[in-house]
Amino acid sequence: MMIAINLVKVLIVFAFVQAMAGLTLWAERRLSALMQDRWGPNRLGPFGLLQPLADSVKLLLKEDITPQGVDRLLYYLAPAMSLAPALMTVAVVPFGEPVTLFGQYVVPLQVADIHLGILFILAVGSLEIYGIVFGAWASNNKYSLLGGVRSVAQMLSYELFMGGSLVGVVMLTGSLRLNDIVASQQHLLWGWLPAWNLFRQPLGFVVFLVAAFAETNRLPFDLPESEQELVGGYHTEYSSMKFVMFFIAEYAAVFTMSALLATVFLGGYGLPGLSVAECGPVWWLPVAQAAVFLTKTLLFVLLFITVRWSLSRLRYDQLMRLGWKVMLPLALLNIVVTGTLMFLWRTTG
Amino acid sequence: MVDDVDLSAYFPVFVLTVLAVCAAFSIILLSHLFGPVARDRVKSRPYESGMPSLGGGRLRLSIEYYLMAIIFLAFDVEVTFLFPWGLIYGKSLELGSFILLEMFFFFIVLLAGYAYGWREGAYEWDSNREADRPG
Repeated sequence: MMIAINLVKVLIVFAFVQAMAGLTLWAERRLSALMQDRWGPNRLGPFGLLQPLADSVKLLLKEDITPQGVDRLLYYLAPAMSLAPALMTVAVVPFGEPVTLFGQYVVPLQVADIHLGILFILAVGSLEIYGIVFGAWASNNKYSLLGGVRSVAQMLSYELFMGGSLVGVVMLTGSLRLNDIVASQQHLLWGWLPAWNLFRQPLGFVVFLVAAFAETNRLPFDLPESEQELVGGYHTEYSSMKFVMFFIAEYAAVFTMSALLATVFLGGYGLPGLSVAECGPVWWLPVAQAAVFLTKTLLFVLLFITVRWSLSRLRYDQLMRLGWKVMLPLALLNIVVTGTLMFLWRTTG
Repeated sequence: MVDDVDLSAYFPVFVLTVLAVCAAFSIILLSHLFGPVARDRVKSRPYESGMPSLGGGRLRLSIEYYLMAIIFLAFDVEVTFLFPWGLIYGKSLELGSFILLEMFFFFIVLLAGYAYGWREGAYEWDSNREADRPG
């Protein structure tokens, strides 16, 4: 029975992430159109919502070109290696408190409730880079190769303090499980402020947010695919569905990163007063919590999109300098400050 | 906290992995099945802004990329050390300030390496640009 429940959960989340990737793509096109005083896709389905679906069907029927001189194995593997991890990272993100089904099965509302939650996301998330760099190398194209190596250097630099910025949260929580991290943010500070890590770890939040933009290759850090210099970057030579897969991977990563931001820094599915402890096990509670989680996540998705269409791209040396000379020291400073404050708070009462 | 390692919690992750990999490969397969094929010597050339490409597609890369990878290796191990330390930090505070002082010692060593890299210009992209300038 538990296996059946697990399978259903996996299928739902799997389908949901892909649907959200499509929805994010749609939202990006609509919002960018709004910001540039255009219409954007508005014909297919209500508000043009079916446009991503139609686009994939169209591209499915296009020729799948394999250019001369490509490394065939890697060229075919790369889109899959980029897409598969992007669909997996969301596995550990909880979207509600555990519910009891049929009076006996306690079901955590996430795919897998594992102890190493945060490390799982960081580890699987960084697997996406293999798809990018293999695709870039295999394409036998100068633009692709440059996009690929840029992407690697950028991801390496920014992953460093992405991990570092989360250490402060881990120190406060004493756990890597995302459920524990959410649970630790449910009380109120001074009776009115939700104890979200956004308020308890402001520096960590800022550093993580910057790293999140860089890790998902979004503007102002989208140098791996900067159109004006590199045509399309690592996916220049890709066509048909392989091209789409890189994009689904990118938008799924945006959604997952937003979900992680909401979970770690914005209290996840919790709002003050909205928990099993305070409302009792009523039927609408999981629905309400999932809605809260989704709202917070979509807020970050909107932030990702708005930033992309408002800021201009950094130069590559600026990007590297920002990463190594500003963000890395800030991440370490955050750990020192958190550690010292926790120590002082402990000793003085 | 870590009581025992319950691998059954990873079962759904395994299922999801299989699902994601299968989906990824089936999409590739689908586009091969449905896409039309019209081979063409010119079309299959590597794209280079519409010109015949000059030389191969695999360029020599600037040394900075390799340098970045080496610095990453050095620092990433340090960040990995910080996770288990941060995990037990709150609990260990009950035993006094040892764990805090330990962090300061660790950071001093880390910062020494970081400062050395800074002085050598390892974090500067295009650090030799000044030298390249004429005059």
